[in-house]
Order: sequence, then structure tokens, then C-alpha cells
Amino acid sequence: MKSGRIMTRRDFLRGTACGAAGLAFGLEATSCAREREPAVTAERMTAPATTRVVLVRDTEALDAGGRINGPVVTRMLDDAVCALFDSDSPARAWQSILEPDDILGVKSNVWGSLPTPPELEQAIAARALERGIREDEISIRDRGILDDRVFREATALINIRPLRTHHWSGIGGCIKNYIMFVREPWKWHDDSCADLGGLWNLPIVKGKTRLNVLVVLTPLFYGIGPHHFDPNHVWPYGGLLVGTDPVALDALGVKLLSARRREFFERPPRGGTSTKHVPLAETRHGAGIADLERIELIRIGPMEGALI
Amino acid sequence: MFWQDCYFATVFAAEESAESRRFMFELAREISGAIGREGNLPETVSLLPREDLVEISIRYFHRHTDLNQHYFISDDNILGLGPDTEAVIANYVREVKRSDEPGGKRSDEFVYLLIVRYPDDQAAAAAFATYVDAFMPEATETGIVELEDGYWSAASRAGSHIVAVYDAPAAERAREILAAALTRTEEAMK
Repeated sequence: MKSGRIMTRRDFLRGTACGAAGLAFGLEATSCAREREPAVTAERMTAPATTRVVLVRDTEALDAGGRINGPVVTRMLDDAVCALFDSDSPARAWQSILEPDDILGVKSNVWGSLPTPPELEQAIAARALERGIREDEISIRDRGILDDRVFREATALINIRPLRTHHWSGIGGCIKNYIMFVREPWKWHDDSCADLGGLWNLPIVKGKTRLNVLVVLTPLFYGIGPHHFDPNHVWPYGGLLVGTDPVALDALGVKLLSARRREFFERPPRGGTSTKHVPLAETRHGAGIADLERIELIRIGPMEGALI
Repeated sequence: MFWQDCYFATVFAAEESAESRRFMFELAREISGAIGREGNLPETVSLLPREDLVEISIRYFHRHTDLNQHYFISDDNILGLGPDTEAVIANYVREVKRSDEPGGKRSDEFVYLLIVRYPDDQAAAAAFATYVDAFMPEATETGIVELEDGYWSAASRAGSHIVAVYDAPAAERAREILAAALTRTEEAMK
């Protein structure tokens, strides 16, 4: 047994564990690592005190049939990056994100039931081209990135994927989306994928990610087993979470899914995989900020039912 | 996924399609055929009371990280689980109510029952003391406590076994399941 204070389920119920209440599905999610884990990385020592995240929502993002409205989500992304970088125009905001000579890998997600919307992939590609990046220096993909010249030589990465529950890691969010940067992803599955934050310190990744987009247009908030998907367990949230810090986005993602579970279920199901990889990404790997108190959340658009 | 003889097999595809689904089942049948023998369930599984048991919820494991995958108790190994212990956790559902509203709220009363078998009585006693001290220190005498979310948890030791109940909606329900499990465990130890 480890030394130090023992944290139990009851600490999470009381909200006294690690100051991370809310980083949990119900409560079974997070780790108390924040209080015990030593700050081991240089990044951690120099990490910013706060990080900014933009939540943008639009009631027109989805039509009545649940289809994505391309022009609307493109505008939402523009609005988000403007707010994120204090810019008065998308073009100026993208000047803070990319350089004309960048080689750009856009890491998306192809999971069949809830993939990265092509409309958003195209919006990012369009802005990158406008910024002056050559078309052959832009690649948008999920699988096979290690065999993709652009990703191997990338000077800039943009990370974009939908938010969902995940059988092995609790949530599939921005942190986990980089698992395709290793040849043997299953080696990162141990202990509820506790060390996914370490992916962000791999040489092929480290320091290259300019923007993270956690797509919360129709998040998946509940499921059991691998490859779970039930249309009853997604809802038309109509939002995007946009920031430079993948850990902060995922921390808010956990909070959002937890809130939705509490709203949907009279008594939220107690099972579920721990999402502790999110706080551990901060405390063990210095990949960002999971502490909700240190996340500056800027809200754009209608916030009825925003839950966070 | 399936178990057979002393093997646990899980087959998954990174991308789900009709073709990958067909291939996964084909591969699983191949694996099953290669294993050949059927095998028996671990004895610990037979200690689970049958009434209200949700068969598909039964999980058999050894490590505390596996327990936390199914039901989070503590980051630390306060039950002293490991290669020398056998554990089983399962759900019990007495009543399921669903709102008539389409997509409406539902109320599934899932109670968790955990049974752990230790190498001997001494190991179980030591683990039980650690567990009670860490998880339910106010219930040293009673063995039952209402947790901060209003659900009840109860625990007891029977020889080389620890039996614990979680998420019971009422104290009576926690006691009922605990007593049923203790009865089966004590009978099995005779």
C-alpha cells in the first residue's frame, strides 16, 4: 500500500478529494493523485497558473434531424478562436495559431458512431490554407499517422475530436486522442489508461499542439463495454470546447458528462471506468491543468442547459 | 469477450463494421475451439446469492485496480487484494422502474455485492481491519454505515472471506444481501 493519506470513495462523495470534485462520473472517476503525486516534470514547474477555455454554443449547430450545420459550426470555431486569442478577426486569431511555413497535422477521430465532423475538419483546413500553409503540408487523419509524412515532420498539430464515454479510459477526449502516436496503443490501457498524459511528452508530439477542439455537438454520456453507442445516450448540446490545453478541455468534458448523467438518470449508474487519467495528466505528466478552479471558462452563445 | 476453462478471451476491432463483427465472432469461435475444454466457474462465484442476482454483471478478478474498474472504493489497496486473493463483484436488482416518458429518467436500484477470499483467516482479519479503518471507521461495531450520498454500505468477515455491500438504498436491503452472502459463504466453508 502506498504511504500518505488514503483516499476513498467517501472522500469523493464529500467533495474533499484533491479539490477535484466534479472530475468524476458520479464519483468513481478521479484519482487523489494531486495530493500525493510529486510534481516531477519541468513543465509542471513552469506550468501557467491558469488556462483559458472557450465554450461556444449555437442552437442552429444541429438541424432538427441532428445533422451538423456546416456554416454555423465553422462560425462557432471562428468565434471561439477569436475569444481564445483576444482577436478581433478569425484571420488574426489564426496568426496566433499557425505560421505559413508550418507543417500541419490535424489529428481527428474516425470512431464510426461519433467521428470528428468533416465540416470542422474542412473549416480548420480552410483557415490553415488562408494562413498560407501549403496544401501538401496539411494532413487530416486519425489512423496511420505514424506512417504519414506530414505527421512525422509536423511542426504544428491541431487536435480535434468528439467527447464521449470510453470503456477503458472513462472518457474519450483530447488527451486520449493522441494514442495513435504510438505503435502499440494497448500498452497504454493499464489501470484505466492512467498514464495517457504521457503521450503528450513523446518527442513526436511534445510542444507542437497549437489548438485543441473538443467537439460537444452531440456528446455520448453513458455506455457499457467496448464500442458502446446508444442514440438514447447522446444529446444535442450544440457546442465546442476550444483551448490550447487538452487537460483543461477534458476536465470540463468530464464535468459536462457527469452533469448530464445526473440530469438524465434519476440515480446515475454507479459503474464506469475511472477518468483518473485526466488529473494524472496534470500531476504526473505536466500535460496541462485539470484543476477546474484554474480554468478560465469563456462562454459564447446561449447557455441554457450548458451544465458547466 | 468470453471465458473458457482457465482462459479469458477478448476480441475487439478498432473499427466496427458488419465485416469486422463477423470476423470477430469467427475468430472467437476459433479460439474457443483451440481451448477445447469447458472448465468450471471459480468457487468464489458460487458464493453469490442467486435471488435478484444480475448474472451478466458478475465479475471475477484479483487486483484492486480491477475492482476499481467496476466499482471505485479507494485509490489505495485497502482490501489487500492481489494475486493470492480471489474476488467477485456483482449487481443485485430488485426493481426497475422506468418513466413512461420517452427518453425519460429511469431508476435502476443496483446494489453491489463484493466477496473476497483470502489465503487464510489471519489474512482476511488483517485486511478487514484495514478496510474498516479506512472506509467505515464509524461502523467498527455495527458493520453498516450510511454514506454521504444516502446509500448504505455494510461489511463483515466470515473466516477467510470478506463480504461487502455497496449502494443499498436502505439499511434493511444492505443487511439482507449481506446476510444472504454470509450464509452461503459460511456453508461453503463447512
